[in-house]
Amino acid sequence: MRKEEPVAVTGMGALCALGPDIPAIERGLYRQERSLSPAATLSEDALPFPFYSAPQTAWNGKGRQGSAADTLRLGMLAATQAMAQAQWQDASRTAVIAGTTSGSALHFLEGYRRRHENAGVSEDCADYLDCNPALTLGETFQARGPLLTISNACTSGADAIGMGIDLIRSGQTDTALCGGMDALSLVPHTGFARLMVYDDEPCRPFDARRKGLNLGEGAAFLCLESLRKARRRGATILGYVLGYGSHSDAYHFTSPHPEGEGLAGAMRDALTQAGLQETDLAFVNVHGTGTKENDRIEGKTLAHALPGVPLWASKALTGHTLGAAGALEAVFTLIALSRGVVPASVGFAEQDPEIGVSPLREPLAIAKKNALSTSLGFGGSNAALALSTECDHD
Amino acid sequence: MTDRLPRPVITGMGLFHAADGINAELDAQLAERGLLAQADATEALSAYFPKSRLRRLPLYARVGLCAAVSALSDANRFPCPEDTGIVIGTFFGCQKTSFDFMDSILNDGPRLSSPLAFSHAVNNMAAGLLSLLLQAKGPAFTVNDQELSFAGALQIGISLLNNDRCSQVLVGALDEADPRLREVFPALPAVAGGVFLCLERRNQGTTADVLWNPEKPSSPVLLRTSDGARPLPMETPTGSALPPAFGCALALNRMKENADAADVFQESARSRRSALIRLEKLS
Repeated sequence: MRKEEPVAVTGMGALCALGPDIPAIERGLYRQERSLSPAATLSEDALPFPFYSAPQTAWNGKGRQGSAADTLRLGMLAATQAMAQAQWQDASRTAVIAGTTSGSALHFLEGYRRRHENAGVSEDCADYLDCNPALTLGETFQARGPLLTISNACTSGADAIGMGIDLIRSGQTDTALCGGMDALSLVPHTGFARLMVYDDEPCRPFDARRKGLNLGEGAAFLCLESLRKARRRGATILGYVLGYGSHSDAYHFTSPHPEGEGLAGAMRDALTQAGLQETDLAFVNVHGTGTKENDRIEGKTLAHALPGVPLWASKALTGHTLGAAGALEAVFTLIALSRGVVPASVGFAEQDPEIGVSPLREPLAIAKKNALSTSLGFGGSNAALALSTECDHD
Repeated sequence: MTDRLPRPVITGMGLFHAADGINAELDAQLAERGLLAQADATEALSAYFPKSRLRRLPLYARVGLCAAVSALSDANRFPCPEDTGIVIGTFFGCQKTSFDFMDSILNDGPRLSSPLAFSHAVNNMAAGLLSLLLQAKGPAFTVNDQELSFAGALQIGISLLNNDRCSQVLVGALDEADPRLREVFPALPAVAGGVFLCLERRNQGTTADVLWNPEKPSSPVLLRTSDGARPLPMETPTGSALPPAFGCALALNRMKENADAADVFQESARSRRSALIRLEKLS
């Protein structure tokens, strides 16, 4: 692993509980108002755990379908925003890399219920076959390069961006539309509730009294291209992906490594590729789900590996958006770097002595132009992205 | 950045499938390795892992582990280097545990549904469990692009090696055939099993490249020799990630004898997209 050329971000699109597009999300990040929806909004059968809903406008007046079409719809909206901003003229060597947890999983509960009741098969089963994220986005945007749907639990969105920079750097594609997308349905909502990691109140990442996560939904996409290509065509460069790291814990399927081994390795690789030291970082946007285990181990790992670097936990404003989270938080990180102010970590009040670090309680003005964003997932996956709004590369 | 360095080459191959009769030559390869049509992969794995570690492993992951261990053994790389990466292409992911969880919601209600079934119903379940059992601490990914999943996994595996993210990568195709999926999609044929390739960067061996949306060739598997191209008979049913991986296994077997290269083509049944895997001996 060595320092590599930065990859330019020339388009960004996103939607989540904070708003339907990047300007609305930026306002939401700094206003810090959170809005949880009751579980019944999702389904009358849902267990009573609130969630962060995508804006109602996302459903185009039709409401949720309860199928893979919902995730595709959120992804399509975010990807369309990003592609409109990037204004790529030629997609013949464009890759589409879409991270998702629910969008490619067998979550067609309603159709399966009908099958149980011998009532035939409903459309949500067919949606599973017709709404593959990367294949459908690739066809919509006429991308002729690799089309890759990455299902890597909660690191999917960050991994999609990391794979995009790898494909560009190794010359396997010129441009890459990369991001994450997940709409919520009864299957993951019930699953996380039954794992006893779901807070029935607004979540409190890193707080001593945290009880668990709140789920959310959303999507975010970045248009990535080589620095050379972006400069040659005179594109407006919104930021840079400087580095990426991915390591597996190989420790336990649902619990992170107690010493954060995989996370530390992912952060190390991302910083090495970026050519950065910890002193170059303005902040880390943490995974910070609000679960006991994630926050304890992530916090201890960060305290050891990057002592003194400010931490920003943003999931109390959006919920945990699963496969979208890594990409959404990459967008949040670039917004904070561009604005020069890191928002406070909503929901955090009291330091957990077992963690020994606190995320930002108040907004922080920053001069440095680089930051990390971390993601951890089921299966022992760990990912880190090094992002920047400045580039010293000739 | 990568031109002067050794290229990713295939160093080992492993297969396991429980549905025989896909192709006689493929079945013969499996039989040679003692892996043909074993409904339960535990026996095949017991030489490598204590049975207690395998007992609670879902069948989907067990089949994948069996094929992966076979590939590592073929490459003489078991136990694997700690930085080994894993990339699995699958059409449907873990069918049994996914349906088990939905059944538990429908039969018992959300309040009593099974948390264990949910935790094993994420699509990266097999990649995560393989990484755990093999102690492979490199990147571990799962690709879900229907019939193009294996081509996508191979593309990522090559990229991981080219970008120095691991010294070795296991690239696999893995699908199971739960009867409940047939109830929901009766028109889709059931193809179950696992195929893994082991790749490293070397100066000699057989390279693999993925070309996206090429012109459709005359046959899904074409062997290329100095005398021209020759098709290999191969069924390519839709609804599984496995057929192009089986095609690569067949082609690699034949290339040991008399071919310099082979092309394995796969179309997506639902999008106008395709991929061609080109296998080529480095001269």
